[in-house]
Amino acid sequence: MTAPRILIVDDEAPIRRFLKIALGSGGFAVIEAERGRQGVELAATAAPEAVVLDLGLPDMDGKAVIAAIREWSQVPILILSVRDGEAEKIAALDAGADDYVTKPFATGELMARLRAACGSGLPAPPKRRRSSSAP
Amino acid sequence: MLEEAKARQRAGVDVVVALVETHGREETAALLTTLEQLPRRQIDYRGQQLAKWISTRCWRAGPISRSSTSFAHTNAPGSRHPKRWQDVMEALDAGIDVVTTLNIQHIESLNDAVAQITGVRVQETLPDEVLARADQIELIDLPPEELIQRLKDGKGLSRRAGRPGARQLLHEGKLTALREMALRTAAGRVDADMIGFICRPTRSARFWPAQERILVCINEAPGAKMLVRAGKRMAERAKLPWIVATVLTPKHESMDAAARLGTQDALRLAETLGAETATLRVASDAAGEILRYARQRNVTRLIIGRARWHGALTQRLMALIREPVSEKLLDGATDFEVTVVTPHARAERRKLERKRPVPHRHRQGRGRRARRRRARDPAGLAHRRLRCGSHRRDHGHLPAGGAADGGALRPRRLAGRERARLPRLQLPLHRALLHLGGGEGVGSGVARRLPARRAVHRHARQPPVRTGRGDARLPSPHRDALRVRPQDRRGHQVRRRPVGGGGPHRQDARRPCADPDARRERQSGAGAGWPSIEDGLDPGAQGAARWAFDKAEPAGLGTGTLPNSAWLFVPLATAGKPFGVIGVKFRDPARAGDPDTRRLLLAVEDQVAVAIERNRLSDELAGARVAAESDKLRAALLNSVSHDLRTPLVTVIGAASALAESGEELDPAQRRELASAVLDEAGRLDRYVQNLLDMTRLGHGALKPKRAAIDLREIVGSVRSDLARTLARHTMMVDIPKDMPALDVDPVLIGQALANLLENAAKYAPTGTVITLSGREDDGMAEVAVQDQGPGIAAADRARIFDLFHRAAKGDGAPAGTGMGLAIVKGLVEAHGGSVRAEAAPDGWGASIVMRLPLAPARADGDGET
Repeated sequence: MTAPRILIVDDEAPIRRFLKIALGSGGFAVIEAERGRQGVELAATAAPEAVVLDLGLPDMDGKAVIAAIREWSQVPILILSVRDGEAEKIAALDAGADDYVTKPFATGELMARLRAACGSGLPAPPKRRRSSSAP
Repeated sequence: MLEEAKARQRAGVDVVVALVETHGREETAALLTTLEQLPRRQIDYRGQQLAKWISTRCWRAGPISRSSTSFAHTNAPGSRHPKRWQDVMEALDAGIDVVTTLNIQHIESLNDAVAQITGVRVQETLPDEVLARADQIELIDLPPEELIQRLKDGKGLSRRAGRPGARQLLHEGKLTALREMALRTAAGRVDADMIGFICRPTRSARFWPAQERILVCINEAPGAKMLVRAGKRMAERAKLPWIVATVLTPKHESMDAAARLGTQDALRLAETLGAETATLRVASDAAGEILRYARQRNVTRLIIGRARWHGALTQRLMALIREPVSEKLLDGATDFEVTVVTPHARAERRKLERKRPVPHRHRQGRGRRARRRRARDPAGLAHRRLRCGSHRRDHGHLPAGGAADGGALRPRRLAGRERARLPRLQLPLHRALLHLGGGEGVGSGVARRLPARRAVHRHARQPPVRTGRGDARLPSPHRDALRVRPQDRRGHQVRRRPVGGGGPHRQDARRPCADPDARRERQSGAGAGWPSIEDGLDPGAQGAARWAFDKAEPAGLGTGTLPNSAWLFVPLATAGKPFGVIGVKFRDPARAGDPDTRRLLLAVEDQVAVAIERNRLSDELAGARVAAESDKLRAALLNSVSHDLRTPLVTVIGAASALAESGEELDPAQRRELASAVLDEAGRLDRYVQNLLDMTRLGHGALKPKRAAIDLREIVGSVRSDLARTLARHTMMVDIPKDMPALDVDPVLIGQALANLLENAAKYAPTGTVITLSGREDDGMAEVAVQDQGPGIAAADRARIFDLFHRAAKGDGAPAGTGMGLAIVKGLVEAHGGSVRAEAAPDGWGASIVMRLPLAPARADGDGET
């Protein structure tokens, strides 16, 4: 079984960089997009299993990206944003997003939510995930 | 009245007798025994022992009732107020109820009518407004026989019975007429109370339909006061607001003072009677100005006097030479109801009836204009009316007060009608018992309305000063005094100085100095600092200053309050409570009453008050602007910290959590990658914090560059290695000529500036594009430019991008950054005496930021130094 592809749409290169490593270690394959328009194109052409989307993009608003993808696809969309207001979350979820994680975040939580969004047949959680938190 | 006082005393009210004239009657003295009396200061006045009412002590006594007689009388010289009713007003304002008596002939608006009936001009009058403040009026009416009996027994009026005029007053027919007057006045008051009860607020402007007004036009001709009184009665009956206006033309300047004072007196009377007054100024066309003003103020009725010249010959000549203003007014006032009142009609009526069966009007000349007049006025009425409507009925309603309608003033007719109705009542004693309430109920309601009326007066006085024509209208020395020069502004600024007296307002008594002597002193430099006026003020003047400040009305010389002071004080106020007073001491005290002087003083007061108010407002505005600006900065800073500083933390926390949670599953290269991501983003965070600190230091001017001669290439090399990862996605090109002279800068600070520019370029320009750093010498300075191939900067934004927290793109869609980077570049470069500017890149694609920095002195000099 091939690794599920996750499309990351975020204009911050450092964030894309560590997400690629972290998600890769969790059994996901990562596709990157720096701009909203590029993200919409990749969502159509690369057929990802889930999309991780930043709301604040230089070229278009995150909600416009959701709307563009939702015109033809039901791919799970997980929002990753610094905007932590309730109204923002409601607006994004109403626009068609499936989940919402606020920055900053721990990679473990993000991956768990991605597994939930993608349903069964996804990589199992790492066996010794909590070992380091013992002390 | 004394019985009333005793009844109140029994009801538990604290009653003090302020002044009772017993006329030597034991009966009255007996009533006084149980009442507390204020001490009577005996002053020898015109050979009589008059008790002076020591009001100051009384009105400080607290909420009590007090009794007083002879309400309208004049106080002895040296008293606080010239008139006793003014003392009463003060007592009311202090919350003391006052019970007093008043004879009908003392009411101001009835003055003409009383003189007409009795032939005696009553000098002691009471403004109608005072009567209007009474909570309750009780009419004391005696059967005539009893009055006669009392007089015979020596009760009441005993002392005055011997005065000239008293005998005339006691004539049967006259008393009957006066009696009707008293009855009608009291009845009119009851009527007003009822209307007031039905539709409050009673006498305020709102009660009067605002679209209708009466305008009384007066001039220097005798009879102005009569016109004012006629206007008062008409306004009162029709429940209309009324204005008394006079027109001044250049010829008035040359007129003698007595004539001008007459007009001023009439205007003052009008204010006392509750009118709004206006002084209009015009070069020539007085009638036109009146009509213009009348239309502007929605006037519906005009009351004018007819111009008359003494002597038949003069009359004819003048009618030939020029058309009187009244005639011009009649010609022009087609849309007004006009009442023409002939001056002296009252005094001359009886003479006319006896000696001139032909109406006077027919003798007014045979000229063209006279013929026109006759054609317009075939009935020959002395009082011409156009569209008089229901007016005549109004007059019929209250004949005794109808001086405007000549017929109503004929005593014989009045007496006859009165006899027909009340055949047996002949000799009245007209005494009204007044209850004037302060503090509560109707009284305070009236008190609240009074300032509003004053404001109307102020308003009426102000336009001639404010229109800007005010300067030109005043005689030239006044004009100079009036001008508020910029350098005088400081002089007008508010100073806190106690006026004297230890009241709670002591610290608030702020006064600018407009005292002519002090001003001269200051200008000549003799009096350094603030002239301490109050040191030279006697207690009376201090009291007047305090009064003017507390009551917001003029006090002192030439006014109704403390007129014996050598100073005249005018409150300084634009709206609301005064913030100071202007005190003027006259070398010639007679000038205090001069209308020109008063007008000048009001103009000065207005200008000074406006200047001070403007200063205060501009200070407030500046304060508000600073507050708004700092609020904006604070909001921008919070936004910057909460959003932009969090962005590096996302990577730090995310990468660190990945390392912590699944480090064992990662290969060493991946672990290093995550660790270096944390390191890079922590460095970025550090630079932001450094920027914040730099900003603070720049803001406080604490940033002092440690200058040294340094090669630009050295700085560039150091910055590039710090930003290696940031610049990794772009191609970096450096273009610095070999012979580029050394810079005279702080390498750390300029390195920081350069780092900010490069980071900015990397942030906005797309991945893979070229960032060019170039340096060159230009006109003795070094120009260091960072050019990218990003979206560029709109021309409109080029100046503003260096503002703190200004960002070309808004929201979190913009690349991360605090919005401080370019502002810091600007601050750092300017700290070196350089400058920074933004421009379009030379090839038109992208942006270019250019720093101009100082060059180190020539190499030889540099060597010499080291």
